[in-house]
Amino acid sequence: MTTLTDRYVWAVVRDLPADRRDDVDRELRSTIADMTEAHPDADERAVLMELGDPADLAAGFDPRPQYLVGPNRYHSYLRTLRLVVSIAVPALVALTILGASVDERGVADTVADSIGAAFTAVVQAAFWVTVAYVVIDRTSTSADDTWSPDDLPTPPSAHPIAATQTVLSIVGALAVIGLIVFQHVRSFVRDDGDVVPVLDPDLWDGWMWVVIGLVAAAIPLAIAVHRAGRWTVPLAVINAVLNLVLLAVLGGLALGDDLVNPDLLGLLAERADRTEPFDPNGAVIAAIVAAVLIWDAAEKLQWAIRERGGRR
Amino acid sequence: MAPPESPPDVLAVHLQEVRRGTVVLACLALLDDDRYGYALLETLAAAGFDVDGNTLYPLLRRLESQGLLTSRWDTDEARPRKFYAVTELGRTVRDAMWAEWRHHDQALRQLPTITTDDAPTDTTRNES
Repeated sequence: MTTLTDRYVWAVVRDLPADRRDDVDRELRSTIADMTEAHPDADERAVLMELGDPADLAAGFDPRPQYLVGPNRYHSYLRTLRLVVSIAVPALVALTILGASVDERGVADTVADSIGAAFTAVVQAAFWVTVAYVVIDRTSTSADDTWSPDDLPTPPSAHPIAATQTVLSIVGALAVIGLIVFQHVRSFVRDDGDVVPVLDPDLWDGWMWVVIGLVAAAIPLAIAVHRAGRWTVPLAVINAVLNLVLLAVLGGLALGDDLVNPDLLGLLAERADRTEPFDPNGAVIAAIVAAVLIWDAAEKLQWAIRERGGRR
Repeated sequence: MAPPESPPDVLAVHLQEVRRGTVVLACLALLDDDRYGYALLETLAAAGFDVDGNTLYPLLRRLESQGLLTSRWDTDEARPRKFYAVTELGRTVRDAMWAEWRHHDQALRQLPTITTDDAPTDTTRNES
């Protein structure tokens, strides 16, 4: 029959390294016997209560680290986890949407697949980052951890927005506007010498100017960010609002199939010897635009909030 | 303005910190004669160190794995018991710890805010 003592001893030794299990078992039984002898009026139960929670004893007897990631790597682990998740999720979702558009799948399927991809990305990223940190924690010796002042990180607020970053933002905005004009005036596609724009020429009656205006707004914004030295919360909010408005315009046009030039689609079909004109999936285009713009808005907001914390 | 009364758990944590090293020192001092776990616990309790088995038994193994104690199983009596005794290294460590303890005791007494001229052990040992 299994006594309370048997169960107590088992609770202590079951997770110990095999080589010390028997010895701890034996000593513990002898100690419990000593305690019972010393308190003849106490029953087994009271003696075990006196010894306390077996989990505490087990933790004391176990010489191995009893955590997955130790305290001096914990925050580094969280940072890496956040970084990897924030890259893996949009990357995998973008790939899924791209794949869905190639396969010409429906909106519902694309959304469902994207959610599945995001979930998979989180689970995979969390798993592999954790495994990597557990291995590092177990294998690195204290000699690897000798610290020197050279290892000190630079606080985010101490490195202002680099000039190259500002220049890149401005050049990027100008390039997008240039492309919009170029594709209309000269285009990549010609039909017997005639220019066939990629974007619907009807857009020049209105929406195109809104898009150009929104893209151009990135230029004064980049200059303001450069002056401020960093992304402040108000600037990040302005950026987010601009992105959302641009998303609403482009998304609306894409969903209404008003974005791509129908002549181009017909021409491409003709060249590919297809009887039906190409039918680009408006929802897919809208989803890709949404992924890019929301990602950008969230990134800048995150920087702004983080640097605000760093300045306190 | 009077300082806020320290919550009992805060006090307990700090008392624990102060006592931690003394239990090791007391074990190394008592184990010049070899003893088994429960006997050591009783001896410590009688000497005024109320330490839990939860703390003591794992501690003995830790000190053993550090080479400060040795152990042997005594199977002569009806009940086999594991006896621990201090090693040469354990004695060296004990002497160094004891010197450290006296040094801190001296240094604390020099501090102007420590007014108890004698026996701080009696005032700190009012609860466990």
